[in-house]
Amino acid sequence: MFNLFLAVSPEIFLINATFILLIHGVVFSTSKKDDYPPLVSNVGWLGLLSVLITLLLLAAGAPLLTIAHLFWNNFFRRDNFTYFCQILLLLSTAGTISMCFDSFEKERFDAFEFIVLIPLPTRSMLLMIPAHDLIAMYLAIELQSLCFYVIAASKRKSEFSTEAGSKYLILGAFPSGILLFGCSMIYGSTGATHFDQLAKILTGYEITGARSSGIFMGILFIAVGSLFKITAVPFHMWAPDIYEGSPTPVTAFLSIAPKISIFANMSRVSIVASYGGTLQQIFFFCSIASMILGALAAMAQTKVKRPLAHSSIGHVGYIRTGFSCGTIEGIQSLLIGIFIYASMTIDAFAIVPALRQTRVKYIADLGALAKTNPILAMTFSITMFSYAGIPPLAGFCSKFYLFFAALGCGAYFLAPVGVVTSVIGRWAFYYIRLAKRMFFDRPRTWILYEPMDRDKSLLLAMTSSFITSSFPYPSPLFDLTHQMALSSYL
Amino acid sequence: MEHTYQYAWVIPLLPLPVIMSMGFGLFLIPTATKNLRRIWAFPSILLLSIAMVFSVHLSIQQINGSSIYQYLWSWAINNDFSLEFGYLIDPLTSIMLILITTVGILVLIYSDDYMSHDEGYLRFFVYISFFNTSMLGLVTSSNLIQIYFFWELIGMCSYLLIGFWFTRPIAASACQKAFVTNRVGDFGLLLGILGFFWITGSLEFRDLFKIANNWIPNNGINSLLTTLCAFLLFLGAVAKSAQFPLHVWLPDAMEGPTPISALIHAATMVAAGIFLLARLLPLFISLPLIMSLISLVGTITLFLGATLALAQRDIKRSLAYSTMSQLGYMMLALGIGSYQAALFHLITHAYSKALLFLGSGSIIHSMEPLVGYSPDKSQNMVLMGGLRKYIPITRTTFLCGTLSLCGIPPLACFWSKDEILSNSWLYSPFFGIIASFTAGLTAFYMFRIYLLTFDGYLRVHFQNYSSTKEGSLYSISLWGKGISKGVNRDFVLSTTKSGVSFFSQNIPKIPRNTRNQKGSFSAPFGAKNTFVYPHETGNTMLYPLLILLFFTLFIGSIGIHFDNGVKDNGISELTILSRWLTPSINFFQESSNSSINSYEFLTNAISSVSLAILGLFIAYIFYGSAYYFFQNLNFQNSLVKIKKNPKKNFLDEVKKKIYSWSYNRGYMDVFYTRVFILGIRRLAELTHFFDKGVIDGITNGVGLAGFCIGEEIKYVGGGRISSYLFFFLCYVSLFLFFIP
Repeated sequence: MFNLFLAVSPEIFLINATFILLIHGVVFSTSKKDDYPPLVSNVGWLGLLSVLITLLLLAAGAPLLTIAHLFWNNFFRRDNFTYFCQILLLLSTAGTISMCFDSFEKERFDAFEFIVLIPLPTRSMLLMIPAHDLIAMYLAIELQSLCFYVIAASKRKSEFSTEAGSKYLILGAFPSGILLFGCSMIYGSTGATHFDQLAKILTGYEITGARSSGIFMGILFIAVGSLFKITAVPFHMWAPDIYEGSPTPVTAFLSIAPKISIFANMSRVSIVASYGGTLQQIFFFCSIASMILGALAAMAQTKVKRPLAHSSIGHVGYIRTGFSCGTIEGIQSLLIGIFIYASMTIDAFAIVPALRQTRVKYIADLGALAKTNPILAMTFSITMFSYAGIPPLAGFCSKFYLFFAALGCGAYFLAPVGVVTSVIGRWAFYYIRLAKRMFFDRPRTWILYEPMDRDKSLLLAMTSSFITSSFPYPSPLFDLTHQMALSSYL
Repeated sequence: MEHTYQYAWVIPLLPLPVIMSMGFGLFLIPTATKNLRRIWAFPSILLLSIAMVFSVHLSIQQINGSSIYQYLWSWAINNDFSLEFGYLIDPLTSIMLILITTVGILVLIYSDDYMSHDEGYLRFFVYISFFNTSMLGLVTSSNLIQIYFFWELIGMCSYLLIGFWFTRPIAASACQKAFVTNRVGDFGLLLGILGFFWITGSLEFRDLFKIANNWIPNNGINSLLTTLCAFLLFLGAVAKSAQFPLHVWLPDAMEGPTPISALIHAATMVAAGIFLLARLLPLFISLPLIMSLISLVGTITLFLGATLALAQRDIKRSLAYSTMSQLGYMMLALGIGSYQAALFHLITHAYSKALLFLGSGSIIHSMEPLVGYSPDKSQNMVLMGGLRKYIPITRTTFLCGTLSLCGIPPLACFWSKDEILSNSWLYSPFFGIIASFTAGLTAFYMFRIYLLTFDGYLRVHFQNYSSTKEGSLYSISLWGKGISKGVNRDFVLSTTKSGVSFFSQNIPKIPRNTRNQKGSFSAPFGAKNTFVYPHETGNTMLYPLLILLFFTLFIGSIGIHFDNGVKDNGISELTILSRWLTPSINFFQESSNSSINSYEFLTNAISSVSLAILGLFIAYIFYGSAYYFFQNLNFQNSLVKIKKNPKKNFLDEVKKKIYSWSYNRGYMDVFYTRVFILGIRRLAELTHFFDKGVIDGITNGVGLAGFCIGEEIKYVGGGRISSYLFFFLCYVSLFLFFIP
């Protein structure tokens, strides 16, 4: 018996918790009696706690489902795929929150609203993953984007942050409009918004060979909207600016959590709407472009966060090769890619704020880190090597499976391009350059960094042990992703 | 009962904790660890003893119950490919387990004393225990991937241990040589494994044998690919067991410490190749071509090893060549399909050779204070002699080892070698002739080693107080005569005579050599140590020798054919070994049955023993105490008939050639250096040029271009929202028009 309340209890809890947190913050931070206390750390811990409780509720409330369940007017669909994606999403959100505390203190950034603004988009992403209807999908995406616009501008006194926020708002409005336009075109052509109905209609079209330019344009616009959100290459230009301008925890959040939810959503859409190969071709083109650009553009950068943004663009390109296959192996390799990408990115972004934001802006500042903070330097270079996809680390696993799937479905052009860009850009110039800076450069002025705080070092220990251990013992990850991919097709 | 099998996986892992704690101790608290170093020997020996008890228990169960036990864990599973790892306990494994653990324990005990003054005592124990771990892992492997894994580990341990005294350039180059030579074989092994995976789709022994069994009814499969893959697998065994084309590393490997030579390069690691072939025999048996290749390679090696051992001066090197020759015997036995004889010889040879090597270590230990610590001197048999007075226990054990290896009846190697000889006669007279001839040769060179070392009188002092001429004559003729027997054993008399003219011819050379030798070794310590005599080594080193002596004496009994007349379905033999091995292999009953007949056995034994005794006798004539008699005789004779027989000159030429062939290791090392090493150097220069000029140019060009493009991209858009939106809409319309 499928218990509806249990199924949605995580979302309900998270909404309530967010509002309670907000009220708590408003009441106490303005109370004269308590001398206007700085609440950011307090609210941060509470936020982390509420995310973890959500995780618990999710894990307890919806045990492994072998059959998919539709609920709430068939707006949402819950199966193994959504279950694990949501767990991953919550884990990465928890990671992001836990890496914030220290940087708040360091930067005198006292705005508890920021923490409140993290669970809010998390909840919308939680809804976005199981969304199984165009309307639900659009609403979830919009809610998420609105939160992001605010969060990007959360450091009000920094002109970079405000610039990033406003840019994001303006640029984000267009793809949202296009997405909605695409949805309405599909609805206009078919009269359906539910994915199951759409799947039936589109299969019918495919079998009869009829062509409808309305459906085609609709799918295209939805794809373009999603590609924008996920920073695929022709629509990527906003990403480096915004990633660089926003505070580092925001950048971390923006480059991990939405990727998971949008990928989950896109894989739903792509399974439904494999109409005339349209999506495949677009994804194919975008993957190649992203890989090449991610490799080349990162080379000339001199700042620390900008290359990380480019690297996320490139990685998203790699992961998207999973879509261009259109097979179950493709989806599986995509999921493996996301899992590993999330852990590597948390790792990388936990390190960057550890090297105090105010000083580390340029790559050159990392010089001789190996002498001053050897363990940190080693962790950072392990992460970089994993990004580059060097064998005993997790990054290799994900790339290997992605290219394997691409070759398996006959994308004989995609895989070699991926390998070549992976080698050229990342290997030689960019990731290794960071490692070289840390280990072999002798800067004129030595920068001494403070040791890392405990939350972050715990987080780093967890993610980097995942990175190093998932290659020697990969079968749990494979089993998991295989189940997920399977259930998304059922 | 089942519990023992279930926990058998612990055997290879047992020595591991000590290794890890020693290694971490050396890294983290080096001073404390080094101060407590002698204590560490105890837990490593203890854990290996536990492994031994375990494996003895397993083999008793194997003898009684004889069931094959396999346990697997899955490691990586995909749609069309599953990789499992686990362990396999069958008779072969249990024999090897006992062998490795017993020899390993004795060598550990021995090396506690042998290495006690060495700086790298702990490092040595770490390496040797790690070797034990990986060797035990190798024999318990249940699939080819695991075999390959442990194969590489033992290769690595061997590399580390040969180069243990890495500050000596010879040792450093020797370990490189061993490693590179083994790489050839390892590469072949890997290719073979992958090839078989391609053919059969599995790496498990069970599946491989099942498939191979299906080939047998079709008179073997004649596919070129299968033969090639089997050949590649065989190549791995050739390199590891020092067989003919890839044997060059084994003599050089004697640069390592002597316990290592005993454990790795005589008893266990070199037997890994034999083990691999024995393990895969059900597979090879379906490929007649490969089987004959194996026996051919074995024959060449056994003959080559015996001839090369004839003129070596270094005691360990002679033993190494003898090891190579004995491994050739095992290979031959496997090639002709007598599985049981090969394994029997493997066991007996391992104990005897470990005894001999440990004995030689004891000799070296006792010689070192006299002649200095350079292996050129302390292992040089020219400087030994007459040691029986000073180190009687070592001498007794060494003599027993020698006799065993020669094939003198009550000792271990007699039983196994005799079985191999009779089987090879049955298989083909060609192999039989060579094998029997080499058996005689073995007796000759082994006894030569013994006599040079223990017989006569100590030549270090002899150099000092004897007359110059006589002493140098002795050493020259020593080497000059060593060869002649190898060629024509029929002309025993003529060789003694021919020694004469050879002797006289060489007289002009003598003074020069004398000077050199005196200058080189007798001068530095002649004044100081003239009357120092060798001492027997400590008890810690002697106990292992005695225990090995016990093994050498009695281990043969597990393979003796007792004629109890219990004849049911034709199998009348009741040897422990055959009971042990029978269930795992059923193909060889014919060959072993044929040797049941006690009469036949007796004739075989008599012929082989007489050959061995002939060899012994000849060696005694030339190197024993009787030599002096002949020497005098020769000397007189030489005065008389200096130019009497012109035919002798030709014989001398032949002898000289054979001597230098043997002393220069058959010119094979020179050949390899000239052809392979120089060739590869040339190729490397060529590719280096190509790499610098062409490849680097392309790479740098691509990098430069990428960097320029990166700089360009950085400025595209320029951060303006309007231009971003422009590009965005451009691309959307582009998609709309160009993607149909």
